[in-house]
Amino acid sequence: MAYYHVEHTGLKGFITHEDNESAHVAGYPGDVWVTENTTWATRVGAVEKTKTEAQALVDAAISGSVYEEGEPNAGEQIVLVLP
Amino acid sequence: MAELDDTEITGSVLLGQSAENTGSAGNLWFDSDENIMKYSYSLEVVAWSTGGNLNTGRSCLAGAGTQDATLAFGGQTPAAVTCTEEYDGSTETWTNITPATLSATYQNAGAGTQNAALSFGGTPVNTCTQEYNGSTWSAGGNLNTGRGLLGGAGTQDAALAFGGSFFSCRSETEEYNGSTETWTSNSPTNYLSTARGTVAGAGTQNAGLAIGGITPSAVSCTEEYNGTSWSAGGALITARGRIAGAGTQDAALAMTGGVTCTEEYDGSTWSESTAAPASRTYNAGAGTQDAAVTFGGTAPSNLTLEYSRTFPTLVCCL
Repeated sequence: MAYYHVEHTGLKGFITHEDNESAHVAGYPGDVWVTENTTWATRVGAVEKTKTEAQALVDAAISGSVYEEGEPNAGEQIVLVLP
Repeated sequence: MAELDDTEITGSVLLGQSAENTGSAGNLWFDSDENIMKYSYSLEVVAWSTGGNLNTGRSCLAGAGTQDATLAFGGQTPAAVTCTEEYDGSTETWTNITPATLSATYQNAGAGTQNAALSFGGTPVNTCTQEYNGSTWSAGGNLNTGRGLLGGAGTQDAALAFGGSFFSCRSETEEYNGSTETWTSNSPTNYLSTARGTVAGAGTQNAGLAIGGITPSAVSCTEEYNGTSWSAGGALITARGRIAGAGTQDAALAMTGGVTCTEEYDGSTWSESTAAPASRTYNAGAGTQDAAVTFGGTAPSNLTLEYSRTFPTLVCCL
C-alpha cells in the first residue's frame, strides 16, 4: 500500500471508475490518498509520502475535531489511523 | 389602427384575440379590446415555499418518494421515534400512518417511493432493514455493515447504501436485492473513495450519487456510482455535511446542510440555485431536481420546505 498527497481538483474524472476497479483509491482528510494504483497517482500528480508523513497530514487535518454526542468518546479528539 | 377581427392566421401569430389568449408561450396577437399587440412567453421560476408541518418534529430522519407523495420515517426527538408520516403535496399535509410502526431508529437512510419504501441502517450500528408497503413495515435483510448517517438511493427492490459513520467514517457500499432481501458488497472495489458520514444520496442503484458529508470536516466531494464502482464527480461549490439530496445522478439537488445555499448537479458540475429560506441540518429530502421537498431537521423541527421549478406563461405588451 502506498500513501500519496494531492489536492482533489474538484472536477469530474479525478478518480474514474476504471481507477477504482483497477485498484481502489481511498481518500482521507488532509488530501491523503491510499492506494496501490500508481497509474492514477501519476496521472493526478500525487506525491508519494511515507506512512508516517501521511498520518501526520491526516492528524493535522482533523485536529480539533471531536466525536459527536451519542458516539463513544463523545467530545474527545477524533482519531483516524491510516491502514 | 384598423379594428381586426378575432381570426387566427398562423400557428403562433394570432390577430384580434382578446386578453384571454394567454394559455401558451410563444404567441403573438393583436388584442382588439386594448388595441395593442401582445406576446406570451415562458419564464423559468425556481423558488422555495413552505409546506405543511410534520406532525412529529424530528431530526435525523429518512425520507422517500416525491414532492407530491412523500414518506417520512424514523428520526429523533431526541429519543428515537417509530412514527411514519405520508405527505400529500396537493394539500400540503402530513398524515400519521397508524399502526405503521417502524422499529425505533434514527440517522437511518431511505429509498423508494411513498408506497414502496425502504429504511436501512441507523445509529449506533444498526443493520436493520425495513420495507414499507403503503400501510405497514416489515423486516428485510440486514445490512452487512451496521451504521448510521449513511446515504441511500434507489428503490425498495434495488437500493444502494453507502458511507455512514459511527466512531469512524465508513466507505462501504452495499446493494439491496428486494426479491431475496439481501445486501451485497464488492469490497473494496465498490467502496466510496472518500469515507464519510452524513452523506446525501440521489439516483438509483446503478446510477447513484453521493453528495458531500463529513470526514470529520465538511467535504465538497461528489461521487458517482455505476453499479460496479464509484468515480469522482464535480465538487459542490459549498462543502457541507448533514445535507439533504434529491433527484438523479444527472439531475441532482443538494439542499441545506448547515447553510441555505442550494445547488443543482448536471452530471458534471454543480451550480448555485435559489437559496433555501432557512438553514437546516439532519433533515431529509425527497423528489426530483425540479420538484423536491425537505423536512424535519435539528432542533428537532417539523418544518417542510418545497423546492419547485415552474414555467409560468406571462404576457407582455409590444
